[in-house]
Amino acid sequence: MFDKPKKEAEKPAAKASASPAPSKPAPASSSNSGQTTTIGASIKLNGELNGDEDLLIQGQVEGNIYLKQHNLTIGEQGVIKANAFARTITVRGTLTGDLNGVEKVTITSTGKVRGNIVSPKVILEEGATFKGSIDMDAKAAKPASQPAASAKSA
Amino acid sequence: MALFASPKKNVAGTPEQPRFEELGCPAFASLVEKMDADPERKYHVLDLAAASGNHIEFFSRFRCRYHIGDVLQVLSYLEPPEPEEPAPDFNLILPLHMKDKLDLILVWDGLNYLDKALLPGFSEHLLRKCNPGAWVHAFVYTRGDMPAKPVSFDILSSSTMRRSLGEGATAAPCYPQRVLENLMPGFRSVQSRLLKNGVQEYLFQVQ
Repeated sequence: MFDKPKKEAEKPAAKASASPAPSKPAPASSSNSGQTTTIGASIKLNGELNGDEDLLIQGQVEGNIYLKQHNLTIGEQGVIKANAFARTITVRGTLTGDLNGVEKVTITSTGKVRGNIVSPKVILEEGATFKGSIDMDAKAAKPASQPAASAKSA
Repeated sequence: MALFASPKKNVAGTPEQPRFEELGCPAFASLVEKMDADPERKYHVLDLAAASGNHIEFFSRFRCRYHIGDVLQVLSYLEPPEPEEPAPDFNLILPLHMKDKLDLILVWDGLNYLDKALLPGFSEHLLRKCNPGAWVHAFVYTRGDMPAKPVSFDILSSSTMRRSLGEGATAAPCYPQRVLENLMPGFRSVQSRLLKNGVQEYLFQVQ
């Protein structure tokens, strides 16, 4: 169900309280060793994603994504309708929702984002598409204890 | 057999490199100075242009919420309504549902391309969402023609910008200041300077 980019799982994958739920344990790799869990292009998740490791999404996710102190990457094939909270967020695919990046949010040249961003540092590469607002107040991007912590506005 | 390879020809259809022009922008410089003078204040900025990493990077120096309107192309296509037609609904074209009112609107190049008959309605739409004393920074072409479509502006420094020269040409409305103020009731020009090539820089403020 999940791609296996590098090694077999040492820890459970990012917890997905999703509908439909994964039918078997999700192979994933741990992030503390610098590895990243991948949600493959054929996966559709509907619900809330919590995790303690880095995550790359190439599939479709609807809901909220909460990676407390980790990095979230939306791959070029990723299509996300979700609010996301992570240490850094990189969007190479398509995302509709609010983003809260504790350190940084990057929208690459292939990225398309519609929503609001809260982060002290926002990088928009040439060719990126973005519509919404950016809160560049460093004080605004505080870690939250609950998922879906991104700011609502505009 | 040729001794040297022949240089590559410019194949027809190959896009030309965009041409740029650098502009000194004293009104923008004074605006930045005013914003710098109050570092604790949080500014709410609306940029009518498409999202630009350059603009975002520049305004990240301020405590600010930066809204991207991305409506310049749409505004340039709007036509005034026929006598029995309703006017365009700017609430649909540029929804301004943000909680806070705006302190600064960047209208770079937009005033030139919106039909004169629609400008008062658009101005009123913006005015409703402005804080008292809010600024509008704009560029207006004062010579006979202008690029066929709105062009991009990059901020090089607080006093210098780089304007794409665009492609093609179309007639510019060439608004004099008094006419522009009449078309934008509620906004008053507080600074205006003629820059290179007939580009006039304006800083308006909500009265």
